[in-house]
Amino acid sequence: MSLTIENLHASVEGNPILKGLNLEIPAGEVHAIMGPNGSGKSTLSKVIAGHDDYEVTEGRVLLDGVDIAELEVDERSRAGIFLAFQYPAEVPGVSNANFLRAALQARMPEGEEIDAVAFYKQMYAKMDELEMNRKFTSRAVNEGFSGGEKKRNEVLQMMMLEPRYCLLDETDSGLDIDALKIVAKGVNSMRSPNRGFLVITHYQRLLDYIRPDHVHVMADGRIVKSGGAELALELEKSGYDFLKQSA
Amino acid sequence: MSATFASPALKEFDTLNWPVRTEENWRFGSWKEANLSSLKPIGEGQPAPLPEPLDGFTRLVIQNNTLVSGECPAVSVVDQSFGPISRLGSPKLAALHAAQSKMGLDVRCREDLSLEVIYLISGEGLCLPGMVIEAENGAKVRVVQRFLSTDDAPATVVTATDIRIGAQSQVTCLVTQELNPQSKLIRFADSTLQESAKSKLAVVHTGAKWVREETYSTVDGSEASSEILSVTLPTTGQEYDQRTLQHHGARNTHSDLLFKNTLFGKARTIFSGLIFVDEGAHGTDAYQTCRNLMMTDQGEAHSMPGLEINADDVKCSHGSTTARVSDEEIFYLMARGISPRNARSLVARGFSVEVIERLEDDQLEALALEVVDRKFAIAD
Repeated sequence: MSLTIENLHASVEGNPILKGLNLEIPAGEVHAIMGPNGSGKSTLSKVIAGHDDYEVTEGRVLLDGVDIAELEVDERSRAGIFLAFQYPAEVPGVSNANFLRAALQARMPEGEEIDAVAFYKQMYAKMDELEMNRKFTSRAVNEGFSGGEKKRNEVLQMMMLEPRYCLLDETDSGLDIDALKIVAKGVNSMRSPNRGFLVITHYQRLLDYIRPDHVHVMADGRIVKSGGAELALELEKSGYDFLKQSA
Repeated sequence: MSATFASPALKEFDTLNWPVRTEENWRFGSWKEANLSSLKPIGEGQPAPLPEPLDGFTRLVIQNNTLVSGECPAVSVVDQSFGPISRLGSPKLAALHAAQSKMGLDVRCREDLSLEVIYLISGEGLCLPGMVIEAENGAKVRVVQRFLSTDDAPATVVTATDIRIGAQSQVTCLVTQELNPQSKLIRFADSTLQESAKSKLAVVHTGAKWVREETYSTVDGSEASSEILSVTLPTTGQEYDQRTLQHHGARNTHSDLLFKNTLFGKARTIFSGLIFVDEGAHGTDAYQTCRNLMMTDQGEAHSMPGLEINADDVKCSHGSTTARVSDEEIFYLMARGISPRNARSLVARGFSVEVIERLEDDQLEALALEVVDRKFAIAD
């Protein structure tokens, strides 16, 4: 059981961004990707999610052994991939509750309806864990939310949808330390032998709260270095200068 | 009584011309649709299953030109038109109503009232209902008008509503229109607000092949406030042509117009709006926004917002936008497992919801949403 990325090449409008990336995230593990700006970290998460601005030119992504190249964005989500966005979209006029219900309903067999009472009970319990005010259920998705509220909302969705592989794209950006702890607590509560995580971040501090099993450094569209949690500390101390030296 | 009333009206009707292409008030509009010269009056109406009643509302049911059920002490049935005046391009059609309407409701409220009027339209021909609503003495009045077809015949409904709101009184009016796709609706909606009066006048159009709507709101007393709201969801073969005028005739008045059109297929919409501020109407605060959401590349939305300000010290703004469904929003929803079709529907529904929520009335909002959802279920 793993999310496996093999020799992945991807371009935007003809410009190659990912240039032969290999990575395996077995279920049960947390992998962190760090790297300088422009190294392709966010692109990687969007390519896995299936964003059609990105063209996969070579390589493949396997979800528990199955190539997902032919799956649409929504099909990938229902198959178990979850992307927590760096900049979550605002959806005016669509309440958070209706949005989550629609997302859960999409996972139900044809003709079955989700149980509204159970849905609200579950949602409120998760919101309490994330210390989210219940008024957010009736507010339009992400509209007028602060940066921190948006990120909590991403984690709420992740907790409700219970995906098999979670991609967190700079979930720590825009969070103060208290919000960071709460978000990390939510993520940690979801860690399980059946679930893998890919955590993209610029800063080691997130990894103080979400302890990774492996840390990878990404540069110029590839993984250039891998190690244990201590690699993040090393990067925090000495930066990415070693990339220039090796270049 | 109707004979003496109708005779001069008929005379006036005869002297006027049907709309023509060159009239500014018919710019982009399908003026030929407005020529009703060949139409005969509609026949007897037919009974049909009624929608669920609104809790706490008095219900009147009208089949074509006949009140068939319901009564309300505040409402009188009259057999003539109140004589609407078109100031936005359709004097011939207004005169037609004045000359030929045989069915009107005269609603006079000195105390709070919640009234639901169901118009069941059936058969081919011309149907001309009308309504005057007068709210006085601080009354809070809620009126729902629902236009429903009970068959597939091509009816033409020419309807006029005149809402007169006295000092400190309030009227919230929701009109829903779900006529069959062979029918036409021409609607005159006038309102006049006195001192500190408030109005919320909303329409939801999902039916009919062609709608021409002329909305004229006169804010004539200081501290009065008029909100004009519209949600439309036309599909291929439907055209909604809405002309509005927000007329500020007194100091310190407020008006806010928000129209949102969601166009499917080859639908057409036309919006022309003017904010007109009289000399001396200082302290006017007026807004006008028309937004079009294009669900395909084949729709056609025309917007012509306008301002004419003859007073100092006013705050006025107008704007119009036309946009496609945001790819970013769709990707976000799909990334949560929602199918592309449902994602687009959710975004488009949300676009309409923003207007509907402005009603600030749970029952009316629920009804408006029900109408919108019925259309989303079939629109593509």
